Amino acid sequence: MSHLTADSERDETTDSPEGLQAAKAPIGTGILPILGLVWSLVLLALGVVALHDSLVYAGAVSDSLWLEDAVSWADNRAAADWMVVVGVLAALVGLWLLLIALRPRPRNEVALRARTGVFLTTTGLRRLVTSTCSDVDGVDTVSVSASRTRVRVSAAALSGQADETRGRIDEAVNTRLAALENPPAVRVQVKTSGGTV
Amino acid sequence: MSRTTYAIDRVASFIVALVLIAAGVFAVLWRFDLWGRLPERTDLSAIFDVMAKGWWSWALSLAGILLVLLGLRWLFAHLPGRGVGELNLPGTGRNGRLRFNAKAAASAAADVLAQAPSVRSAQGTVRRDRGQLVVDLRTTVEPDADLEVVAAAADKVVADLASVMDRHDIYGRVRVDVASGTQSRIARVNS
Repeated sequence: MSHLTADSERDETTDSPEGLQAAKAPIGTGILPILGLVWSLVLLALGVVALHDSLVYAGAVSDSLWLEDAVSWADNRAAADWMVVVGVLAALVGLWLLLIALRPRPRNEVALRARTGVFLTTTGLRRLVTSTCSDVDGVDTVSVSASRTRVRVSAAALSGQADETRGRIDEAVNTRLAALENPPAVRVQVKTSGGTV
Repeated sequence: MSRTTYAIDRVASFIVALVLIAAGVFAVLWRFDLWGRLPERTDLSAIFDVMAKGWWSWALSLAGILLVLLGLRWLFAHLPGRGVGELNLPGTGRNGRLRFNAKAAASAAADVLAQAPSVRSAQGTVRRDRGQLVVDLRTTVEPDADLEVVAAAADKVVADLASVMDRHDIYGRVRVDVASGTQSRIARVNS
């Protein structure tokens, strides 16, 4: 019922029949730009090394040749145990980077039912559900985790009221999230001082 | 930051990942002699030969300049975009330009949205995002806000903005965040 009233309100209040078209859903960046920043600094550092050595060749700077030093260090070298340690660490970092490089861009927002794109952040979703649960009769404390598809509520309730409280939480949260385009699945776990029921 | 920069970051990270994994595998193969064709000791005399060539110092300075320029370009590509300021209105032609300040319009819309019930604050910008010109409103609402009311208020503000701007290639988006606590909402009972 509440959606119907909201919809009719919306129609009355919209002066322009078209409004703005909804933009593409927001999308996060994750950690990749920070990695890109690091690689660009590495590139810069390599360039500085090359310029340093070319200045030394030109006689403008009197210093040892860094690249030659590096190649001399690596030349005529036998395999050593530390290389295994460093190598395994490098491979682990490489695997982590591989995962990040192949992961799609993160989406951290859920769409609200609205004419123009209105999105709720998953952090916002968690806070909203936490607030909703805290207002439910019988709930002492509550902790919530939320993603775009799933909301998990675990609440502590007064002893002997676990079932009723769970029902109330379920109803309150689902009512609250009815405004979402695709409401996430809600799972409620209620503990009383006697343990999980 | 553009999509291109993001793609370059992704490809570069992928390459670095492959290099690191290969180095690790190589170190293990070499140390435990699992690949018989690897030599006992490294021999980099070929590199020394190249470094002794007359053109080496020139090539090195050229490479240095290129690397520094590329590195700087890549570094600055990560700076956040400044957003869009002024835009043309329909009717702009040879006789004169009709411009309007899209940024100001977006922040005015945000101010209106901030007046809606249980909306704590709102900011508005206009920016280019994945090929669209987007009016991006960000708002923070109270934890006990009614989402339908917020969505309806956002719709109204964006619709008003659309009639002000009168351009059909502009897209709207409202991002709703929720404040972490209500401001003194709980009535206290003194015992």
